[in-house]
Amino acid sequence: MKLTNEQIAIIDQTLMDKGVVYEEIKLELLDHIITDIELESEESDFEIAFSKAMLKWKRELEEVNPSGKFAAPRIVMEKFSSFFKGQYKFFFPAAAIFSFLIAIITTLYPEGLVYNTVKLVFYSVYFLLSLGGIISLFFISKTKSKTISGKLIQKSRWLLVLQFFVIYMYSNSYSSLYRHYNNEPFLGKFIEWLMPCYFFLIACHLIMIAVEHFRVVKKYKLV
Amino acid sequence: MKNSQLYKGSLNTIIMKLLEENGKMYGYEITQKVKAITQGELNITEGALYPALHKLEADGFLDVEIEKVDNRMRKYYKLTESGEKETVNRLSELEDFIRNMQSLVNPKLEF
Repeated sequence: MKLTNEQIAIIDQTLMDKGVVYEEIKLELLDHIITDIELESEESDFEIAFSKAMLKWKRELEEVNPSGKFAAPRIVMEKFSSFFKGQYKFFFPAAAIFSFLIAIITTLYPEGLVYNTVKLVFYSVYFLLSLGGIISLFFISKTKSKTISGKLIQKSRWLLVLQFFVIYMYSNSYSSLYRHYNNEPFLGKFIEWLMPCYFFLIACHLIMIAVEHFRVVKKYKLV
Repeated sequence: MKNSQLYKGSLNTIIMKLLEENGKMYGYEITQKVKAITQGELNITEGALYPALHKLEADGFLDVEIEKVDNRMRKYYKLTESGEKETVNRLSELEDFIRNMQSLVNPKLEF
């Protein structure tokens, strides 16, 4: 049987009702179900053929809530988890290396000019990344189509706002003043940079997720 | 999938091999191709296929193309450059595995 536009719209709405609202997943599920019905089904009645086709997706469309905070169909949740393939467990070691390098540079070159330049460049880039994240959030909210990465950015809006607080707090802290920083031992300098570097990496990761949203919108020709 | 545990670890390799041979394919097409080649012995379920495709895409081994087909959009998967290299590696590993299993259990294979 060849499905009509109205029947396709019914399948589309059913997927949306089950929580498959993200275009990059909905698109291929919709196509798979339609093709299954059109090519495989021996039924002439659309409703029966559709019910049979949907039975094959029962497990994948089952709502799961592994974290207890956000429920979604299993197939959607699996896609969400692909954004967190263990990156966060590498953030702390990476932040430690980053912090160590900055501490080394500012120890080998203890002049105020070097420290202030490193501080200025670091917090400027950090600020621009955070601003980029907020601007991305604005445009993502305006996008009609939903993507997994867009949803992640929207759920991370508190983190995006927190970045500005982190920037303000650490760049203006007492110990970040050159005359105090320069008197600290190496370990103190390392610790001074550790948390800003950690949040800096999170800001980078959020920008990458935002970029992924816009890449999907472009690739899938979404609005 | 019949004897699913035996096939489970090879699903990614099967997908990548098919894409290597056929250029680009969509999900439903992959399931039908596998079914046809194995004469119905192996049925890849939707629950196994799509998470595998998404993982391969997230790992950078697959890229996607969207095309309009009839009255809907269709998502095609194809191998990236790193996917092509990885396919060669995985096929080599699978060949070694089959050879070792043959040595271990020595089944009488008929083709």
